[in-house]
Amino acid sequence: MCTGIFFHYQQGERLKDFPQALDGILEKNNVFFYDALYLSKPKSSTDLEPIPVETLHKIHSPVMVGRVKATGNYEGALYSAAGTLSAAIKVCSGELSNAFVFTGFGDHHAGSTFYGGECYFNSAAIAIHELREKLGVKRFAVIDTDAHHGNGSWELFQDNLDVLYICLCPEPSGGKAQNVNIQVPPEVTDQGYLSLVKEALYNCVKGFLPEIIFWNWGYDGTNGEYGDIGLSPESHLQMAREIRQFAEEICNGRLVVILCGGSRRDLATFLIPRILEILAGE
Amino acid sequence: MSQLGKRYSCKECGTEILCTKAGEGNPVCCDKELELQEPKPLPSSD
Repeated sequence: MCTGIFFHYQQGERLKDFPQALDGILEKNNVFFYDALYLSKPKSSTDLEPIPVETLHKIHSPVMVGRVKATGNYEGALYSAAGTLSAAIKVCSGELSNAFVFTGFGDHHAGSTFYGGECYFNSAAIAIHELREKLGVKRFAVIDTDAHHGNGSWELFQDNLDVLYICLCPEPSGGKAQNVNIQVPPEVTDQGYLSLVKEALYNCVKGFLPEIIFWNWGYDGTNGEYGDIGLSPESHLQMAREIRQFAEEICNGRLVVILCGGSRRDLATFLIPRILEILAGE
Repeated sequence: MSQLGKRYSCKECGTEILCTKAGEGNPVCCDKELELQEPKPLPSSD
């Protein structure tokens, strides 16, 4: 069991306590730390490589990529997506069992020609495209527990029969092809939410037989957050245990956790190290 | 004092190390203190 942490230093507030908050985790023998961006040191195998623009264009239109460049956030968005892509390749090639990606911008509101909610590139979609092309991976599941609807992922995956995309959010439920929207009440208990997650895993994902699972994890649905649906911080840890265990049962543990919504620094500092402990084996 | 999660490198031999447990001392290689590598922080959503 090897866990990869994909991290780049960010200017924002919510991850200010990292990497210091990884105390006790980085010293584990089965944890590997990949980071970026150093201008001063020679390149090494632990550096994140930016995604070539040609790869971005396989998912996002050149006009949209140009618009992202004009925002001033391009480099941050690029390295966020690079973390997911690198994590997915290392997990599917057997170098890692699972991975956690610290994104600065990401990623489920980014579609083929649009972006929103400060999600500029859809890193799961980019990684899935590359896994198909480079490693011949055939079936993928994306579980989205950010509090908001993943409109970008919905659009990008709606015609992909090899991708099962499940979004748990307060939007009205529905589905198209392999896209499933599971409606969450505006206020939900931890137990109620976890039941919905388990229902999604065992009723939808299990039969689909994915070779890898991407988890778009947002903590914005936590009490006091901007997408508050009533979840406690502990609910995320229970969710992490469930999803990791499920991945063990279904796809040899191949799981990539992508940090999505959530703005509170204290919650990030509490939750992320604990989720990493779960991924690496508590 | 070493810093958790930071990378250090040796100018003499090219060795690069990652600090996985911070301590009071500074890492040394080739009889010299290693240089702390400063990462470039990137924009993010908050």
